[in-house]
Amino acid sequence: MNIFKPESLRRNLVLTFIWLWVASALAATLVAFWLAGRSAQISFDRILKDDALALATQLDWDPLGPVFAADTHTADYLIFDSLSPSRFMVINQNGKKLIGNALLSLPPSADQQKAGVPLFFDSDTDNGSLRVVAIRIENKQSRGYAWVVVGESQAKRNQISKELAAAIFLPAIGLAVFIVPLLFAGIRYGLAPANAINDAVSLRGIDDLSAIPLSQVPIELRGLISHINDLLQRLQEAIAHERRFISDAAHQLRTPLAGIKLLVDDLMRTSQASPNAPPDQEVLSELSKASARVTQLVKQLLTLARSEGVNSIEMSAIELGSFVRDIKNQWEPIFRKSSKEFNLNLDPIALGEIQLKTNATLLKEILTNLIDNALNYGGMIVSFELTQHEQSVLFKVRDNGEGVLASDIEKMLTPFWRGQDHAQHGVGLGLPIAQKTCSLLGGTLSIQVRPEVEGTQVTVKLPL
Amino acid sequence: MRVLIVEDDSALRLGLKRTLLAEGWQVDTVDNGDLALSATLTESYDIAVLDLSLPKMDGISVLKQWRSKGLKHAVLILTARDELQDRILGLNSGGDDYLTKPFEPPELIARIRAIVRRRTGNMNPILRIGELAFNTESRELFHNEQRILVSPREATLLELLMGACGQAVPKGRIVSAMSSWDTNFTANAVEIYILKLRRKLANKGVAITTVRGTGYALEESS
Repeated sequence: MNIFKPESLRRNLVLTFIWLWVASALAATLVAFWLAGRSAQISFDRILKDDALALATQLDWDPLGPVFAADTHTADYLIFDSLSPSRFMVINQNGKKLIGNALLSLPPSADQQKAGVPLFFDSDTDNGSLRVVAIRIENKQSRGYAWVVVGESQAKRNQISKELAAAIFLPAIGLAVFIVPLLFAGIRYGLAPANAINDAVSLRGIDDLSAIPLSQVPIELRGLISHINDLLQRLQEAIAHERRFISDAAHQLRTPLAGIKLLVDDLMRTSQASPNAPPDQEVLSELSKASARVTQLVKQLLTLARSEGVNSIEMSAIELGSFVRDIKNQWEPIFRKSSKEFNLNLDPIALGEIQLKTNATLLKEILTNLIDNALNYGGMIVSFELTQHEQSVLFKVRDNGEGVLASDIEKMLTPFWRGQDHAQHGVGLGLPIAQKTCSLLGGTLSIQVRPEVEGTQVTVKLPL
Repeated sequence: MRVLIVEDDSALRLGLKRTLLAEGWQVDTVDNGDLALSATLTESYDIAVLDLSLPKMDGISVLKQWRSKGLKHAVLILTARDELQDRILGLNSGGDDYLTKPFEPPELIARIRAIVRRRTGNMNPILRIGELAFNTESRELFHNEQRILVSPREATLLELLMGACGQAVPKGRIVSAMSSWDTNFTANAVEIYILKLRRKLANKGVAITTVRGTGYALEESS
């Protein structure tokens, strides 16, 4: 198939049908012509034989041999042919001509010819090419025999061939004049449903992603249209997902912005009323916190947006032991400050010389996100576990809090989901970001809840 | 007027509180749906400013519970979502009006006043008794076009008395309207403010009378 030049279905069909039709019509007419020609030859040969037998009736038999009873004029009359004058001769067993208007030679095979059985052959003479029949006539009362030989011009037969050719080939050519336009019309009619779908699809608005109705689609195209409908459905879902995400992001920004707006207006009002009074510390503190929340939200939105378009990232080998020590050093003081317990459960094998090919910055971001979630929303004890399982490394962050329902696991990975008891900070983007980043690193992120684990556990699985 | 703010974002909660306090209204705040229900069980509010996205119990559920319990205070729904379906759901669930974040403070105030005016059936922002006129929007008191200065609490008390059109206002309602969780207002304090108003309204053609066993009424004096 030529992938550069688009193929035309109609052109392919027309060419195929024309070739098929021309070949079969040609074969049929040739066979018809041959059969008709053969039938004409047989008929002419039969007439020629009858002429020879008619001459044979004029033979009289002496004990020594045959004698032709009639004169030449009578013989001519017996074999008269209006189309071409016949040549004939009658000779005895010694080759003596008894009567005739021409000298016709017998073929060598004539000696083996049985009496009474006609021998047909073509012969070139001074009078042109002849079709000749020779019949050996014998008689019981006589020892001799006679050859009755009659020939007629081939021109007569050639003329009949030409007439037959005209009678067979001309109608076939005439038929082609009708057949080819009918073929075009038939193909156009057959392809009409496909063209109708083409027109219907091209007339759709750019935003119309509804499924193409299959009821009017020909069976041959249903598979294709069905696949296109599936694609449209997925596209619709993707667009709806994007719209929802943008809408949710805008909503998340609106609340802190509304707070900032009111607090700034309040500061302006109070400073106008009392120019020398210091600004209210509570207002300033809330303004600072709200600005930090907006900044964090925008940062997370950008991280999520960036991770959507990334196909490959830079990977390098890291030594797991020192990587985990960094995490321990980073988080232990934070947990001490918040009076929560931070337990590290590290597989000694994994902590050995194992090298993990990954992106250290992104992996650290994922784990920071998970530990931060556990610290803020989980129970009093947070465990961090590192184990090796077959050709994978498993990072598990678990807290002993109330946890979520198993039915909420999927929602937890949906952007902006915060659960019923959501705290003041956090917008529900941490886990979706961690999940996206995990897939960028070639790994997976899964969530386990009670009763499988005591509390909530997030597992990051990365290939070694 | 006493307002309950139900909002989980601390900055917006503080901003709302300070904006409404500046109007001279009494303001209480809660940050989740459960507390919003508890607050209305013990206190009486003229209006609640209710966010829809709340921890513990979402705003629509809070609203439905209030209405199912027969609580009739006005509700201004405040939310980040502005889809038509959300607005219809909020209003059908018993909300009086709908305001989308972010908003301009004057619009918030105007909407709260409009809802309360609709609720009380008094569509005119100017309350009049005799030659006395009180503008509920600017919270200014006039006697024959002459302005009489009143404090925010005195204005709240005046609005209650003038809004009742000569009918007695129960003392408990006055206490509730002038209280908030931050400033505990007692029945004795009401008497002090009544005394202050009586002095300011002396010889102005009106009188604040004590209705025994009930409360106070502001009437045209003969």
